[in-house]
Amino acid sequence: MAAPRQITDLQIVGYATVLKDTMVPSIVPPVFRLKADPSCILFPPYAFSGGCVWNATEASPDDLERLAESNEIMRFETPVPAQPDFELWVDQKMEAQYEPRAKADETLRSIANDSIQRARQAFAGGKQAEADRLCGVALSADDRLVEALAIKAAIRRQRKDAAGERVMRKLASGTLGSEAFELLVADCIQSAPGDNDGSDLLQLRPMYRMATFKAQPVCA
Amino acid sequence: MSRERREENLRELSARFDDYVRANMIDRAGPVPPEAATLAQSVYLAHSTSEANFSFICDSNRLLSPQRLHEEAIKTLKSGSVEAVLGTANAVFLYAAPFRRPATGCGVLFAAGLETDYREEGLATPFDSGGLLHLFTRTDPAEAPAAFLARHELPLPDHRRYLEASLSLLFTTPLDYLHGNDPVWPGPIGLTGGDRRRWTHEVRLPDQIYLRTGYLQAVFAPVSRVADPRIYGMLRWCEHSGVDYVPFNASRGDDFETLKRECVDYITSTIL
Repeated sequence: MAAPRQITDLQIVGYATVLKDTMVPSIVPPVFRLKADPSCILFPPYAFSGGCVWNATEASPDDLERLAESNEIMRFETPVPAQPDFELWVDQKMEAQYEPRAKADETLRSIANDSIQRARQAFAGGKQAEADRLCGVALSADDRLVEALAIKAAIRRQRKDAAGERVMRKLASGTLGSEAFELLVADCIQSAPGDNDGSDLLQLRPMYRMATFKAQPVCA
Repeated sequence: MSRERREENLRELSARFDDYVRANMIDRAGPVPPEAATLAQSVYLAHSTSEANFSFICDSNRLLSPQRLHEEAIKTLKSGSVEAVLGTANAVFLYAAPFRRPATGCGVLFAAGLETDYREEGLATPFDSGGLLHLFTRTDPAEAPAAFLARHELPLPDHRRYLEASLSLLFTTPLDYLHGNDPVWPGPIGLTGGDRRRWTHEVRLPDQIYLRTGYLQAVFAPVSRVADPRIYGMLRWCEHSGVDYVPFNASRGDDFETLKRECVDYITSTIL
């Protein structure tokens, strides 16, 4: 394990995974190198604390080369200066973004919420494949969004794919109990064509369940 | 190398181990912990990799050796690669341990019984072979890494006897091997530097291993990767077939730490 290194003394030379277009957007762990000694490469696992990178695995440029050849890491053509409280993530065009953590979180949350909304609409419109894909985008951006798993489960229930539905329930189990998840799935099914009273709850009733959200003051 | 030669290696290494224990007056106070035997006999065979590679593995249903990857025009085997230099290019690499390769996000465990299917062609070493070139330091640098490696190639599944002895005497507790904590005593092999792969048993099986068999013990993948149709297909097969799969939340880029922890927890709950 390496000694703690000031983040400002480091450059990012890549990230320690390789993703496909079905896996983005996604936060990725940077691979660092020392500005003062480019032969010193720092791999995860490591921890960030007090503006430093702690307990990184120190390696050589040869290791970097080997891992890149093995399709285990992605290298940048041009190193990027590392900065404290920044996040590295890969967008839907497969391009790496490095920006303040708060901004990255906000962007990813926005992508997740937008994808979920579009997935709901696609599902309600009977476009299962599109709904499934959009749920994947939402999960890539935020893997605790159980609603994405609920929509995926609902799609599988409609397809009478019991094993697939059980997979989604299990994936959600770390975040949500099975009864609550079942309610979410049932709610999705209600919105699907042919499985309810004929109304498209999301498209025809845009205020559906809005009252369950906390009321905001109308004036200061 | 023949199985007889590997058995001879095991006898020699065991003799060196006994000498090492005597010379250092290593004596465990009290009985041998039962976890040592249980863990050594049953610890699974682990392989972890990047998400993109794992997607390919799920789709192809195989773990492939570098040689096989080259022959199928999937990835070129370079003459200077670690595997080419050490003569291990025809092997699929596994650890008799939790996932140990850093910077990996997905993985599979096979039951220990897989080793008995490869008694003749498979082998083990009490360290990561690739580390000999780039990670570890040997006491005699004049000896070629390939020669050092050859002296330490042990038969399957008998290498687990050496593992049991190591767990009993070199570690504070056998669970340290599982958790990746260094042994108190380095042992007779004479490697320094690097990380926990220095003392983790590596198992090498020839050519390719099929995933969807009775030996597949468990599949580990982040929840988010269900978005990948190939990985989802594998999870669905596991669900349908009654094979364990362990999804975990890891969207902050700390996937390997989470993967490792989930794997240790799984091994602990199913073996110990």
